[in-house]
Amino acid sequence: MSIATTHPGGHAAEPYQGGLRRWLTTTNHKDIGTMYMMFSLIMFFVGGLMILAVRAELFQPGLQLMKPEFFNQLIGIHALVMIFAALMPAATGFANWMIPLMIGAPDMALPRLNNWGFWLLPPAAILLTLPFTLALFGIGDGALATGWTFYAPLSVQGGMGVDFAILAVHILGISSIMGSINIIVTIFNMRAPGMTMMKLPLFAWGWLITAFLLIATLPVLAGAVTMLLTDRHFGTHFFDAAGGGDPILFQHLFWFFGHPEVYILLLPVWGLMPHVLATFSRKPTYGYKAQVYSFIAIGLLSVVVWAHHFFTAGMPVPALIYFMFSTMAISLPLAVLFFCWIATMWKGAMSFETPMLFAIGFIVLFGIAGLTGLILADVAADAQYHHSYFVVAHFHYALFAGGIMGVMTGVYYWLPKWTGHMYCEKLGKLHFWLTVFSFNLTFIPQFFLGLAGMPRRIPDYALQFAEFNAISTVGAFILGLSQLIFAWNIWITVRGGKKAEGRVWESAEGLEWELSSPPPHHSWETQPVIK
Amino acid sequence: MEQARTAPPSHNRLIGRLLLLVAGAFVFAFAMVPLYDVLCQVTGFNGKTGGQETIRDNFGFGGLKTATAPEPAVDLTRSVRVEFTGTVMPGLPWDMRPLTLSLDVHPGELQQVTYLVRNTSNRSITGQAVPSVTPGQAAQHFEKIECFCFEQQTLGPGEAREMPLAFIVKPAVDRSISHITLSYAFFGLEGQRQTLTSREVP
Amino acid sequence: MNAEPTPSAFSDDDLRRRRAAARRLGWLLAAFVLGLYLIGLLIKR
Ligand code: HEM
Ligand SMILES: [Cu+2]
Repeated sequence: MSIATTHPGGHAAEPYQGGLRRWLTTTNHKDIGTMYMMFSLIMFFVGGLMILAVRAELFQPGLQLMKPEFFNQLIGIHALVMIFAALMPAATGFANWMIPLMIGAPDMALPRLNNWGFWLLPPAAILLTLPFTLALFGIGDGALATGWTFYAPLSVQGGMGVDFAILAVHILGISSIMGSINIIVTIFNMRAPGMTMMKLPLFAWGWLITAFLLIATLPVLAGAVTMLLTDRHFGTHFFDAAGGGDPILFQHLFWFFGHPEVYILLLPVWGLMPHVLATFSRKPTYGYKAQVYSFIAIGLLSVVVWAHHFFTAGMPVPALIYFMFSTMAISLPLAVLFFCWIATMWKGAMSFETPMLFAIGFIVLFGIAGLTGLILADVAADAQYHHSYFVVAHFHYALFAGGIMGVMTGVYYWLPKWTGHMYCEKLGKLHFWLTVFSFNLTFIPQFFLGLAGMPRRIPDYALQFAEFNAISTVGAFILGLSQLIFAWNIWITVRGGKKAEGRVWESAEGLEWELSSPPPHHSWETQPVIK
Repeated sequence: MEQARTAPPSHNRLIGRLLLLVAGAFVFAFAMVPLYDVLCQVTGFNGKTGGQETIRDNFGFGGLKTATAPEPAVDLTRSVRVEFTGTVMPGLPWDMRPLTLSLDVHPGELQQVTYLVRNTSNRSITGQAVPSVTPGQAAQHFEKIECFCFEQQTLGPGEAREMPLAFIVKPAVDRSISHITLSYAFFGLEGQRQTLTSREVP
Repeated sequence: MNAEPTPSAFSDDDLRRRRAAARRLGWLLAAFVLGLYLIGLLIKR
């Protein structure tokens, strides 16, 4: 793709507000993108602190630090915070910052909606965590204690933390749906002239599928938790067997959302990977079309496999077989993606700056997530592994190594573009190696624990699990501390550092690199034309 | 290129369509409630048994079939082991146990067993038992002729009662099924819903 | 702090070397995976 004309400038003369007022009222996609990223980073640490407390409790068998009730609250809120308040906002932050730059649009299509979408997040995060504080003052019995999955009937019987979480999920859902509509409209209507869908950057493609999945499945979650709310307070019996309802129905509704959700979290990351790999391999992306079709195939398949999360709840054998094979089928398009990533690097002149290190780390570790997923998808094996630490290890390879490390790839790759400064390469590399080392130190033992039969979501365990748990806890604390390096690196890059060029990376391709670093407040006011 | 200078396309149409999709997905969640119930009845998905009268109709989605006449033929060539179990839900100060733990029956044969249910509190309480049969494929062929779960049961203070259950495993049940488990959950009917944190009245 | 510069143009020679290294590593990994696969086929419980 080549660019005929570029007009990076913008009109500078506009009443410029500073301070809090600016951030509250801004409709600029770059400002909003920054806010999403900052919010995500803060919540990443909030969720991290919660789980460090959990790991500290699990350091030794027995109950040392907390009551089981509090333990249950921590694991559930940790997951909700990480998924809804750390990973999803990070992806939305990328979308806000990069999609307009990459497709040559002056801003998002619906700037005001964009502002609302962001400002719904902090109240939702407060709602999620407030019951912890209230409990300190003797109000209520703490936060949601059912785990992030809200399973009925436990969630029907639970305390007021459940209501807070339901409300938070509603607000977060509305925010995500608004964001998705905005992104779809932007991509469909605001591409630079000449940018056909098949010239769309892969990052935008990934996000497009995510946005459609969000629109198709988040309302189902909203419906399910609404039923939960009416069951709790208005005498309905959707999930109450005594009234003719069915608790298993909740699992169906939850996972009809929940499984696509894991692809919602990852598609933006899969979208940004090829950009990074191509840049640092100094080669064009391999298999653009194959990757687009794989995204679409995964999006479609992801809504028909949900019941693999409760094989053990009791299902007729034909249903088990169907869900087993359809789940395994998803690994085919996923394998196509892996192939394309590797083929992009094949015979490339690779160099290993921090984003590339994270991208390669992502490929290796996320590969483990996919392979262990296949094991879990096997009905016969899953009867053994379900609800064990094996599952916990599996989805952390998917969500930490796949999701969070993917986000870090993008942050290191685009941070110089956003701030106009180069980050510290030495600290970046240190962060990468510490993260990879301690991540594996934390989660490899959990595979073994799961295979040996340690159940998840239990604050105490049998003595034979002690060594692996101790190792895992040590790993978790190193992992947590290493992330401070990340935060520090971002901080110093925002404050100063070596000036970054417009085309930050020598061989980077794409419209975003035609602009200066940082790009002007208003960019692409005259759209570039793609030949 | 050619559309370089056309006006930006209207966003409203697209937004409208996307909102429709959102509404559709929300409605879909609620449509799953009756759909799922129909599915369960057709396939026995969730252990909902045949041969039962509607329990309570204040919320219509329980929709269970009414009893039909028993089939006469008895299949003496094989037998199926039926296991009985039961739990009392939190907040109901009762205990229950089957007096027969398991039974080998020929499909088509009429059988009767009893559960012993006792009220451990010092007040009179009404409860309702809800049955479930596993495996799901067997549920449709498990027919209750008489069951204490057909109506609400009231037990006086400290009262214990033997509650009867008469059933037939219909000959149509698949030959691959050798074991069937029948489980009851007893729910308290009075007062507000019991939560994990609400205290039991002894 | 920001000592290490971003890729300010590698020499052509360097790029060539890197290409060769990437290809070698690719074959090596492929052989490794194939090896694992074969071992898996041969192992009997
Ligand atoms: C080939 C790909 C994959 C397959 C076949 C697969 C399969 C499975 C299966 C069968 C389970 C249920 C295990 C159980 O509870 O017994 C599971 C759990 C899970 N998977 Fe995957 N998975 C795959 C990829 C992913 C990805 C890409 C993600 C996230 C981005 C992910 C996230 C999760 C999560 C979060 C859970 C646990 C949810 C919970 O119970 O709290 N998986 N996976
Ligand atoms: Cu899944």
